[in-house]
Amino acid sequence: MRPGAESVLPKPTDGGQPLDQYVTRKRLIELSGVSKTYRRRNRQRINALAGLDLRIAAGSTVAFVGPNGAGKSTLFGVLAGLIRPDRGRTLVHGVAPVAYVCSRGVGMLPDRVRLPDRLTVRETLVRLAILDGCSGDAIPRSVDRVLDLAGLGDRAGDRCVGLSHGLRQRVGIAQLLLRPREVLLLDEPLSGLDPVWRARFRELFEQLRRESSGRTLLLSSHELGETARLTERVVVIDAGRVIDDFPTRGDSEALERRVLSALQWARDR
Amino acid sequence: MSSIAALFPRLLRDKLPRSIAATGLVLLLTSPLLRFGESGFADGYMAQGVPGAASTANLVGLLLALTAPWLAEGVVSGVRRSGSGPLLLTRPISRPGFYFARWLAGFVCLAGVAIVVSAIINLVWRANGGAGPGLSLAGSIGAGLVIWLWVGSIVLLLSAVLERGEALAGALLVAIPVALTASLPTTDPLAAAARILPVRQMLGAARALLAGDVPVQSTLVTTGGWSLAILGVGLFVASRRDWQAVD
Repeated sequence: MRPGAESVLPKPTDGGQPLDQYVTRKRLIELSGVSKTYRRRNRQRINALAGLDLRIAAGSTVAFVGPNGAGKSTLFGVLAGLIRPDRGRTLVHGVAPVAYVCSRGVGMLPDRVRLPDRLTVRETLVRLAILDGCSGDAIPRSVDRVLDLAGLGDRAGDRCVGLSHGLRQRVGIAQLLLRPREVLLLDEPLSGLDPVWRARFRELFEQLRRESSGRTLLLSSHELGETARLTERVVVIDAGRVIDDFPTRGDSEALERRVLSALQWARDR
Repeated sequence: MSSIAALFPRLLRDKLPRSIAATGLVLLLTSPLLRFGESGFADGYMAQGVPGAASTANLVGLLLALTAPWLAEGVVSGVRRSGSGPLLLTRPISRPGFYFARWLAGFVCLAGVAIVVSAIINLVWRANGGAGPGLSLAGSIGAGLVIWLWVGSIVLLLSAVLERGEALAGALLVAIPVALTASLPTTDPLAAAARILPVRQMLGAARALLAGDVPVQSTLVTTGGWSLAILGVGLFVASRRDWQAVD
């Protein structure tokens, strides 16, 4: 977090609860000093995460915003146990992410949904339902339900190889809904969705939030208007660090001003 | 673990097309060589009382060894290639267990290939008036098991450590010495160098084990033990690797 943020930007407590609410409630996700460096083939090093510190309480809806390459997808990969940080400590429900995922699973919507080309949409979802622990009649019931929710009923028999980006995104959303999860990681969830399905996604998101007060929804997005509408807290990330962290008030213009101001401050440093 | 077990029939179905292709490949390559099947090999290995059995077993073993990398290569890198890792690996499953199930499905299919090839070779051999090459059903399964344990474990490890193209290259690196070991006369220096891969010894051990020849079991146990150790390392590495999609 940049020093003296309050003197430059609107106060974090502006019009709402103080930020301390996030650290006084039961902590669900905690990252301290988390760093991750990628090494390219030409030996160039890229610091995707550079000593990131963050605490997220159970039941929060948090948006991560920042420029391309800021480290948002790497952060989600770390939380999903798909990427191991080089340094630092990450705890999800008090345990390492891999242990948490292997015991309870997390809902993950990657920034680019990739599916097995030769399988149909239904078969893909059936396999994921099996891995989620569904068995017997529960498998077709769950799959039919999420196909219906994602509007994919008439595409269930299509092979994934022929699906457009938007349809793949909807398959990605469908697989999130197969089983209830306490932690959902949505990386650019609106990417590729048409206006109708953006609206539908907002409804689903609100539904997920209402279903369980303990459910934590983390999303990354470049769309600040949607972010202001969907989440209660915004974390601005740049160059693998948290540079601002504040509650949203549903005002997309104020949010945009603050995010841009924070990014400008980071660039000027 | 139960969810992975429930997925297993589908994993078998995934491997079936490759297995069928592998069977065709084995038959295609074996059929002309079988005419010389009774000549044996220069190192004198020959199953007692069954002329031609050793060479047939070696031929089938060789060709299984060639097809094993093909089947094993996709255990880890197949998940990366499909790009479905973030969806699969965020489920509440054991990651080593998931990769092991994929590996095991490959073995079951390879054993199936071995049985089919063996049955067809036997039929053809007998139809031509021969006494049969002597590679029994149990021998076929044994051959499939030992080949898969050794080659499949190495390829899984390579596939876990390396990326797609490199895994294929690694698989070929395994397959070529195996082919040399099994096919060239042992007086050849290349074959002698390649003998560090104990495929023929393992085949012999498997056959002797099935025949109740206890002393040879140690070879199988030693090589099998090494194979299992390599498999364990491969599963460990695969489950700890950072997720990275391969385009």
